[in-house]
Amino acid sequence: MTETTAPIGMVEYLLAFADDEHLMGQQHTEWIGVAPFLEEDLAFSSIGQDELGHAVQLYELVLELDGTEATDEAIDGLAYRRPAAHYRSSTLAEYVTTDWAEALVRHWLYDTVEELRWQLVVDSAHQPLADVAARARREESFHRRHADALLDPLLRSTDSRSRLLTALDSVGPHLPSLLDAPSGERGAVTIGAASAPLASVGPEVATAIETRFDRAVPEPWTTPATAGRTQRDPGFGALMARMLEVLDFDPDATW
Amino acid sequence: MSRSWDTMDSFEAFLDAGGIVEVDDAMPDEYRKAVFAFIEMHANSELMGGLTERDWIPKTPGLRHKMSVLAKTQDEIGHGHLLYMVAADMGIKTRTRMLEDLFAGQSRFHNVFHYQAKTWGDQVAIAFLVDAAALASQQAVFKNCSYGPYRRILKRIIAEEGFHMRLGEDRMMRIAQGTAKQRALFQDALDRWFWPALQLFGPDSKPDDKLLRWHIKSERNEVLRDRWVQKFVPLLHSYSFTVPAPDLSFDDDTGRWDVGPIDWEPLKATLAQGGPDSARRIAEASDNWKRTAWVRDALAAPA
Amino acid sequence: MAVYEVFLKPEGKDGYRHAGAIDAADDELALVLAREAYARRAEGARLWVVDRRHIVEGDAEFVGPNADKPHRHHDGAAVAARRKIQREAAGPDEPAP
Repeated sequence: MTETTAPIGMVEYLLAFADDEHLMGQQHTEWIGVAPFLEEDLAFSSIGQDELGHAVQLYELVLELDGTEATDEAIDGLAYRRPAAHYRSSTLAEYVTTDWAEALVRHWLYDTVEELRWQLVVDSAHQPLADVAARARREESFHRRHADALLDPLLRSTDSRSRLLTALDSVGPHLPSLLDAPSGERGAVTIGAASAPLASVGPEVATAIETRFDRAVPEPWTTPATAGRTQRDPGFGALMARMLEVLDFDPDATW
Repeated sequence: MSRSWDTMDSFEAFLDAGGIVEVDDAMPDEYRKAVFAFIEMHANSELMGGLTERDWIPKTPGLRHKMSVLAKTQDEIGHGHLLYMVAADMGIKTRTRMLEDLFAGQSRFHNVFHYQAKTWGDQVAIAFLVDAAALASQQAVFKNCSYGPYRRILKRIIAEEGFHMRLGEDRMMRIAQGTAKQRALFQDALDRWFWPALQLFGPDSKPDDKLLRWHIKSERNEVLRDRWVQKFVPLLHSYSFTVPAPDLSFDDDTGRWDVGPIDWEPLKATLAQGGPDSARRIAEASDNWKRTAWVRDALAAPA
Repeated sequence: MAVYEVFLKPEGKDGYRHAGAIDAADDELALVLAREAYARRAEGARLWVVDRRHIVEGDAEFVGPNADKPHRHHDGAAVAARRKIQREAAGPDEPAP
């Protein structure tokens, strides 16, 4: 353990971030080969790889706090082998969609929040987290730019605009779950590991949505949930089963 | 138009002297059509190959592993993209038309991608056996390819395939050194994929193969196929896997493996879109294409 | 939609080089998409995208005649021949100036 002063809540705080990144990356993997055009297959896949990479780095931080070496097996233990109730992901990252409009709007919304989320920890008192944040922020600005580059022309065209607004109505209600504080967040803020709770970015996100989509944001969307991220989306079980199919085929195997 | 040739003889003399054809040259129609058809089939194969792998990516065992596998399939789709761009510039079909022909079941793609990856073992077998066969074919084109735009893009494709080869071999070795269950899974995949992979090279080249004459291909199919056999049979044996060829024999004098007679019927079936999984695969790709048409339509609209 | 040509410049002494092409609806999308289509392994440190319609081309017929201007390529053979004459005239014992 490098940071002996880290309170127990730090693990929860990091897991919430890691789980979100992991599951968003997982969702993005579903689009390789079936995005609307080939260039977009490539871009979306890169973003998925980045998110999975962030998850790996954040799980590594959790293992480091625990004094455990960050082997593939240890990382996968955190990523795949916790009981559903122990995950701290947001339903925004958990729910499965096969609709490209929803995938794009979720990508934009998630990355809008993610960019702000990294900003909260870029000066973290927990130095390893600050280091990860510095790298991740460089990638995040590209993610947002990518989503905006697509949304700009797509929101100008009538049919695609209406599809995207419908999608926004499906994605928006998951925002409270993303702004929800995991139980360790208060402790993380107290020790200066994070500068503020994630819920604090709510107003900024609301403004961003209004500017982007030229549409009022219903108040409940930016009102953080208070479940401590303990409740899973109904599709979570099926999502995990899909991820575990090969791992469960032979739990003793190394792949 | 940049350059032109009065006769096919003078064009062929240009090619024989190592001449490189560029997109705006007034190349003979026959050459244009043959090169286009070859690149289009290559592009289709990269895309359909990516789709074969795609089914298993979300199930990849391991988080870091998943990143690598996703990057690999991204490359395959990327190769499709590079090739469609080069093919479209030849002025025979637009990129959209090529994709729509493919999704309508009217275009060819390599035999191996008419099969389904049924298990994770299949996913690894494809990366290990099929990719090696595809790479060998591509290298033989790159070596001496007379069509400049194709040759230049192959350079990048081949460099990326090198990453895939090492990833595939690494994953195969983990399985070879793994549990009995893993080994059985891979042997089962090998039983399914060995012959299709071998047939990727196609039947023996015809004596008057135009692609050879025009310096698109630089090796005969049977030469490439034999080279693959000489490499993979001993490699698979070294990891104690069984090569599923009942008539497999080794000639002590020449030191060469012979897989015995090859049944080309499965290959012919795939050429007629009648492979084991052709219909489902094409229908699925077509459905995906239609579901996202609204995005392409909106982007095509003038700003 | 337009076809954009993509150019990459590696870090260091070398200049931009053509990498390939992409289809894109506008400049910004072209740039964003080209990054992942051609530079996802940082194959270049900088990236240009150029709408193909903006490229002004001089083809091989146009440039070709300049391949036949030997007077612009002093290849050193004449100098070598003169030096040889000079050495022979000076004789074996005397060092050339």
